[in-house]
Amino acid sequence: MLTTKKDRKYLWLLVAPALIIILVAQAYPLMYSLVVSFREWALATSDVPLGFTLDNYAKALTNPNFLYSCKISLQFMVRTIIIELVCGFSLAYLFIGSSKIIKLCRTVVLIPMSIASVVCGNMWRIFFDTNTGMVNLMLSAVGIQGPNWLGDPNWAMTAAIISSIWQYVSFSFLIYTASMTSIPDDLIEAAKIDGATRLGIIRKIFIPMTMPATLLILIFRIIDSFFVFDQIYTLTFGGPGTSTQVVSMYIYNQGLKYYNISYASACAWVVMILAFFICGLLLQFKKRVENSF
Amino acid sequence: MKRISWLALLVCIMMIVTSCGTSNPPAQTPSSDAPVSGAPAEGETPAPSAEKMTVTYMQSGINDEAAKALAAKFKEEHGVEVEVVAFPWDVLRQNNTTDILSGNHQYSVMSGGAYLVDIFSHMTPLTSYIEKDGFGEGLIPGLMDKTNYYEGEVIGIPYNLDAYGIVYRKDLFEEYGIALPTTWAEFYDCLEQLKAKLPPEIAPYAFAGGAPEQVGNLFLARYAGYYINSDGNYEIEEEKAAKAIEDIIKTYSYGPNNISSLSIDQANALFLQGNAAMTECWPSFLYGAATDPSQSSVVGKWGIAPYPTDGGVPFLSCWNMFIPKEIEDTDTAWQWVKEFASEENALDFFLDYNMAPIYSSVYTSPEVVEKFGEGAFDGHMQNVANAFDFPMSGEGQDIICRIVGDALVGKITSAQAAAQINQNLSSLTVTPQVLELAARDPRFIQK
Repeated sequence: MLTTKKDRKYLWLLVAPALIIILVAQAYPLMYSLVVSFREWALATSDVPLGFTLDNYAKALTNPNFLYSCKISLQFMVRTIIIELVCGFSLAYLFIGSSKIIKLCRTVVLIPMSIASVVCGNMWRIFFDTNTGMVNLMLSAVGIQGPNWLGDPNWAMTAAIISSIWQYVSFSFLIYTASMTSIPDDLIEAAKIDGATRLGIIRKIFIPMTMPATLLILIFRIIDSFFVFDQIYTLTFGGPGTSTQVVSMYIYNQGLKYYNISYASACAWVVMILAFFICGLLLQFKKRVENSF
Repeated sequence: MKRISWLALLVCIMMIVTSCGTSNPPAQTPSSDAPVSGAPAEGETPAPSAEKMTVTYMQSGINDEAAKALAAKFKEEHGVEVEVVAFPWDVLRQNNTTDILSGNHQYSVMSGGAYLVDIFSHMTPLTSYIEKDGFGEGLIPGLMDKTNYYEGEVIGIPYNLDAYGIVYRKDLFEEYGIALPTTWAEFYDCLEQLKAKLPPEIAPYAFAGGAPEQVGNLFLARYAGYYINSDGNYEIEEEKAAKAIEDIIKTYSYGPNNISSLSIDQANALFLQGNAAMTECWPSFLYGAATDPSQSSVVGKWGIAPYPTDGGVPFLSCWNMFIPKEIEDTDTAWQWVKEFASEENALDFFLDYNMAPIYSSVYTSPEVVEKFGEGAFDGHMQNVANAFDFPMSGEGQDIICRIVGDALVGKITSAQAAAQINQNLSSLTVTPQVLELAARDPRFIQK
């Protein structure tokens, strides 16, 4: 549909309020942080940004603590996403249908997504208590001695992953449900008539047909999980020691606790570029997959 | 589409240029020589000129509630409406600093402590106000030496005082014939005796190992070396630091199996419920509940022991009120500060809100003795006398907390931790404010 000049004027007017908010609340602070990242500004030594320097980026790329926190974030992201994809897909497949029970089950699965991350983190902090927490009580009921979830560096990350999966598997489930609903029934019927097993149908029909959904989930969850902060902060405070100090906590500490403002800005831009790069690759792949359909 | 892309690029460039131009916050850094609204002349009671002011406190149900109670009286007496805003500790620190950095200056009085050292230069020197009004009579001896200074001038007025201490079960120590420790060797001997004699459901020791920032307090109490070398850079003595970390690991071994994940509330609850014989903590977080039978099963059975003095120092928590230089009415702000930290209000604030007093008279008053028992705070006062602020910036403290935390959970050895601490500290700069803070105890700086 061709739009006239008058139409375009109205379109711009309608979009203008949202655009202004985005420019003021997002774009300007982003540009400001980019500028600050190339200057010297630490509250301990100066109240104002000074000069021009690449030292902040050099420090970020060589600082073992920053690189370590990136590694922790990547580990968290990869483990969380893989399990969320598998669980979300499985739950969506399990709850295919339109009966009342199926609909009820779908609603229950979606509830965790509506809980605030801070609440979720606090809730799981109580659940993971070594002596009185629900998790260890359930494990002891089946004869397993639960670990010191939040005090053992080997288990603290696992605890964080479990709490994140519990909350966000609903998102994968939702996207997969929508995607699976759109798979034509006659395709599945035809496969059954041709003698395909259930596993074969999943492998040859469901997985390929939900690939765009998988990529969409990946894009959203890569950004969410890589930049997780509130859940980790309330669950483990980044501890024990530095075991769960994800990159967002590191940047938060640098910028808002120690007021190494320009260094924190540089770190934030480095991780943002990394996340954009990964998402960019996924978007390219998603386009290719969609074109092949 | 091409036109939109060019438009977006143009907007980005304009933003970058604008960002470069706004490198100065609205308020310039005040020179320490700049004249401030000095104290009124002798004998003159200044009439408040502000109609309203905002004061900040930590959200704790203690200082903030006491401030709200005073705000009502302050309005009646002075006609000034005081808005008390309270935030959790981390947020309070951020908001205070941002208020100064952004030039907003919406807070006339700020609560804080040594961790605000980076913005000390923005606070009003209060020495002349103190001298004019004779503030400080009856304070715990030596307290004004522990408050916050900048270039030799007092900038912070204390109002809530605590020192990290050992809270212990008096009844169990008496029952088992265990003497209070005076050295760190005796401290571990106490723990060993408790371990041998206590029933299995009572741990000898409890601690908030799951609160990373508390770990630094254990280190400060045990580490007997310096924090700043003779060149004026951060450095710790690795051998002594490794020993201190080993000592903390040893202390942890007397705690419950989840000691490294306990929050402050959980660790305190263990003691209050009678499931731990000893804890290291902020006594002010405990003693309110410890005297209430509905919250504690150790009423009348607890005491505060002085820290051994053959190691480091107890961590001082001295909440101060600061008055930023750039606010409109410094005199009204000072009036609030004076009244909030006054001896008249101290007893009521202690009894009603558990706000730890800064006046010696309060600890020995009949009402406090009746509530807490005779001599309940003797050990605490010894800790206060020996206590100091961490002689480092917040970042330095966090480095110690995190790396010691790694050693406590076995990720690295104590020797590796000591080396890593120095490695990390070497990238920090010791500011003049931190140097001034550290210089108050000769142990903190290498000779």
